[in-house]
Amino acid sequence: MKKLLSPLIILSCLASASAIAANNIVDQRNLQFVQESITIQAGETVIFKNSDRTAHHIQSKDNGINLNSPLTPPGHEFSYTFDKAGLYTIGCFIHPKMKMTLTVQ
Amino acid sequence: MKRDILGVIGLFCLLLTNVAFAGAGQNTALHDLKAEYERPVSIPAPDTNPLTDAKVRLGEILFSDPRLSIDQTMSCASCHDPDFGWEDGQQMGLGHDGSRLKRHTPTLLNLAWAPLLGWDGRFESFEDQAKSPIMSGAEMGMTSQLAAHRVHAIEGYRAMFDEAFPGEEISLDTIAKALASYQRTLVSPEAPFDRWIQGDETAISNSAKNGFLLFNGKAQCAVCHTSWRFTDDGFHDIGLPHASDLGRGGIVPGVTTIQNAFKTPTLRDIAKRGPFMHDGSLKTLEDVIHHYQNGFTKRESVSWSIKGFELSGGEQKDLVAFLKTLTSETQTALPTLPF
Repeated sequence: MKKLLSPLIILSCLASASAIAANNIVDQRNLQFVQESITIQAGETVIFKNSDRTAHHIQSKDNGINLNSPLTPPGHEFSYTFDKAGLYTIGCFIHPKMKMTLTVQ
Repeated sequence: MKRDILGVIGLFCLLLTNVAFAGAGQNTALHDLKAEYERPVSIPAPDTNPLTDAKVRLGEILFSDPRLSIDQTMSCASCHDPDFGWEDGQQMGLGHDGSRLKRHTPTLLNLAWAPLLGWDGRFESFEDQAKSPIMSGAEMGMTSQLAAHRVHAIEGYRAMFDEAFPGEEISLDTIAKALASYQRTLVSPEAPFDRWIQGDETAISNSAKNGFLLFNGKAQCAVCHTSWRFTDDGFHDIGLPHASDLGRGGIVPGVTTIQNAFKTPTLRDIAKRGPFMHDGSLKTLEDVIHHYQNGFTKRESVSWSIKGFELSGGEQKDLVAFLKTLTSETQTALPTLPF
């Protein structure tokens, strides 16, 4: 019985983790962030996927952070953990028309 | 024997189906690709300065009025000439005193949709941008008070301002709002390419059609020159050899990606707009293709999208033929000053 419970617990944890991750994945496509805004909890990580044909370069300077990602080519992703609560405007250095907001609670 | 014949016929039918399907797939792909280039039906404007006919008419007159320059010799239209695709046909812009500016005059076409204006994106609105050349000592050399005073002294302008901005005074702000409104209406006229997009297969040559595929394919131009305006509104270092002008890097320092980076210009009316690039250093479209093919300077800040490509002589001609289809045959005349 114990042997059966362990895999179930692991499976349950994995399912929960992937659900959180799905909420925190921001896609970049057609020169825009697919999600205009998302809300996360402090300490969570956001993954910025690049599904575009061109490279992007994530940036934000709100709430005391200086987010300046490496260049993210198509098919790659960049992740960042937001520790401080507040409202963040996220942009792309190369394509300034790309904007989204991130609320960290 | 009968089974063999049936087998051959079956195989032949399968091949035919596959060929037909492949052809249909290509047509669908081309149809989808062409749909990305359809033009919008209306011009956007901010809530703080909605487009009105009165403002556009006023802006059109102001645009051509040399009294907005200190020595009354230069108007906006002196550098932004519709015959040159709203540029001036020269390598670098020219100031009121005849001195050369530091960059090539950019076109004004289709900027109503642009999030940032200027080669380095320093202006967030047309209203801000419109004041800059008037006030710049190197360009028109005015002060805000003198600009407002000169315009106010002309009766015809007073009537037009009353209509365009009821209850507001003539100031650099209202002058700029009128100029901004007019400039938002500078939309590239329909070109042969647009007629092809709308379904007229005779509008452009087969060479240009092949050029369109190269533009979107092997040459990868469409990665940055995208949508009906042929721009991503982005900032890229395209590897021009002289890197003393930091471009966007001068506005947003410390970010390698945008050092020596300049705004991707539209390609509309491109055949009228040479020489090309922010420094006007490339004289012809052939020079431009050569630059992107293998002529660019390689350095850390050069755009990820610029990797070089191989085109045959015929393919280069096809690409140029396509680019020329983005130029309309329409002639735009500037108004004669009414007062």
